Amino acid sequence: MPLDLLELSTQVRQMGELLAHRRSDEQRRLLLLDAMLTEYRDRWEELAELAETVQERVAVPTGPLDERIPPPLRPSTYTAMATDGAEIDPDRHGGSGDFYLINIGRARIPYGQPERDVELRSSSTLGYTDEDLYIVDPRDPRRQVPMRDRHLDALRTVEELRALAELAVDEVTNAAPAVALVDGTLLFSVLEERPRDFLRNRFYSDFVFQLERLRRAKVPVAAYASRSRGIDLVHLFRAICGSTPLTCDACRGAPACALRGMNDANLVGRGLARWDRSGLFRVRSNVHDPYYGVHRVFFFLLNTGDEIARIEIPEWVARDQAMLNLLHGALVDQCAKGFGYPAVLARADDRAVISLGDRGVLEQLVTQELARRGVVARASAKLVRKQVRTV
Amino acid sequence: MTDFLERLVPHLNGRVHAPSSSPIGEIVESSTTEFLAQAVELDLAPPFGALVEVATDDALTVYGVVAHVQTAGIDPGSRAIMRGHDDVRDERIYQENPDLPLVLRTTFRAIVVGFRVGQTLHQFLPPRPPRLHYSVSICLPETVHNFAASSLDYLQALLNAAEVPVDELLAANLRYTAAQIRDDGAFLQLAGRELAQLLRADYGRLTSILRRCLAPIEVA
Repeated sequence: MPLDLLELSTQVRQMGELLAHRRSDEQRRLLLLDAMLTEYRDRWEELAELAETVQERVAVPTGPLDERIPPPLRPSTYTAMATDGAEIDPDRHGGSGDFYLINIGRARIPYGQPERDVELRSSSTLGYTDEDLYIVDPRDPRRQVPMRDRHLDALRTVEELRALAELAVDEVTNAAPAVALVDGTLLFSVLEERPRDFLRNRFYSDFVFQLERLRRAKVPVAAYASRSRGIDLVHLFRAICGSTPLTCDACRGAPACALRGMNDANLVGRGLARWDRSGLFRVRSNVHDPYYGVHRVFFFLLNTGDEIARIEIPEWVARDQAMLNLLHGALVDQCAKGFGYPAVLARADDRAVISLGDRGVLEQLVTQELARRGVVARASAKLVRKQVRTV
Repeated sequence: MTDFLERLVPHLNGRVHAPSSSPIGEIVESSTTEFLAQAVELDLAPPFGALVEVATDDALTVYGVVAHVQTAGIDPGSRAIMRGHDDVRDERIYQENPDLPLVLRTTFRAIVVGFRVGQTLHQFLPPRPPRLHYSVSICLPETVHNFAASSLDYLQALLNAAEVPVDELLAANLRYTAAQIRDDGAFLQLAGRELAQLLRADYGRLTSILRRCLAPIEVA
């Protein structure tokens, strides 16, 4: 048994003690923060101005901080679309050579339109050519970065949105209103590669192009993050107070900053009743804004009953009241149908998941194909050692 | 007796099935003694006790009796949960969640009771099981008639079936067959005598099955 359970149980007990203490400390700090929030509640314009001068990524309020919008009527006739993805990273230890796989699950559910069919499917793409496996600087082909780990994550995110844009473009001829959802965030991260950041340029340009397709199709798009831990607003407050508890009015000389470990949901999510949404905040990000243009990202928080979700939308959705209302109503309906998580996203996720069995089948297919061509697939010594435990 | 037989239209889950040669399911598990099929349409499986057939390419047709019907999530790990609320009940749940028919499936298990090669019917196990992914159809009344008229040896196979409510299955199959044949009860008399032979050591069980065969059932 590789786990030393005796030793672990002592650590678990100690951890429990600390977590309980942290929880009670959190309540105390929330009280301190309430005072700060009350102070700034109506001074949101001042906050917004200040946000523009901050270096790091922050939330820019667009209205009073305690603004809450009750849910509009749930639409009974609308089309919900969603995509979600999963990937298999190139396996350095397997013998089948370098390839990756991206599986995108798509779901289109027309509600209140009995004459239309539900669409649930997935499409899988194998990446194996040199162009697939390496991201090359177009201006200097000697600079290349392997497509794996976080870069493959970024590629998957772009492919999810591409599939969503395809669904939305097909929807143009339909009279019923439509909403398009992806899981997670529109503000995905891509590591910087200097000079001339060709990585970000490649992923963000493609992503923004897909957002533009959605805008032209007039389908409001949103990224849904369940139990959000976003801290853009926390960052803004940290910028205000300087995060120096000893001299801070809010913390009143407490040993640690009251904002430490807090997230946006702690700050503005507590005032929301079930199905209410918060006001809109714009995310000011030096990384994303130069690429996103008219698709700069806004977000709001939504109380789904059991948790606070964060919904990110591009600027053109944020500025269109009809789209915003449709999205809010559709999300309420989706979360009610999906027991706290949008039903259409859950269906897309079902189609995206790559099971262990599927992985095995793919590996076998590749091994067989290689064997047919006289290439022996040999796993690394480490993998062989893991598969066959010797004593 | 014919009155109730006429009313005995094969039913399942509230939907009426007219036997026809169009496929009602596709085989997803196959073995010598039984096969499992997924219904082409959700909730539209053949009735419990019905005779179904699977034709293969090489003149071999395998017959089975439906012994179990189930509707559940397609993914083995997924479980159906209660979705009704306020006035959204029953069929309205399906209207509100049009994706449900794509994530649920109805399957039915059939006990293999015989096969046909060319024009010859046999009531023992076929040389090979029906092929995976082949279509399952409900037998037409004339096929049911021919099958039952050829012999009643298949009742022994039903009696020996494992992990099914055997007595219920026998009674359901006899009711179903009688309703398809419509011969003023002649078949039921014959089958009753055959059962009496098979269950001669268990009079109580025999009468309980026979009572179930004759019990009139109301079907809307």
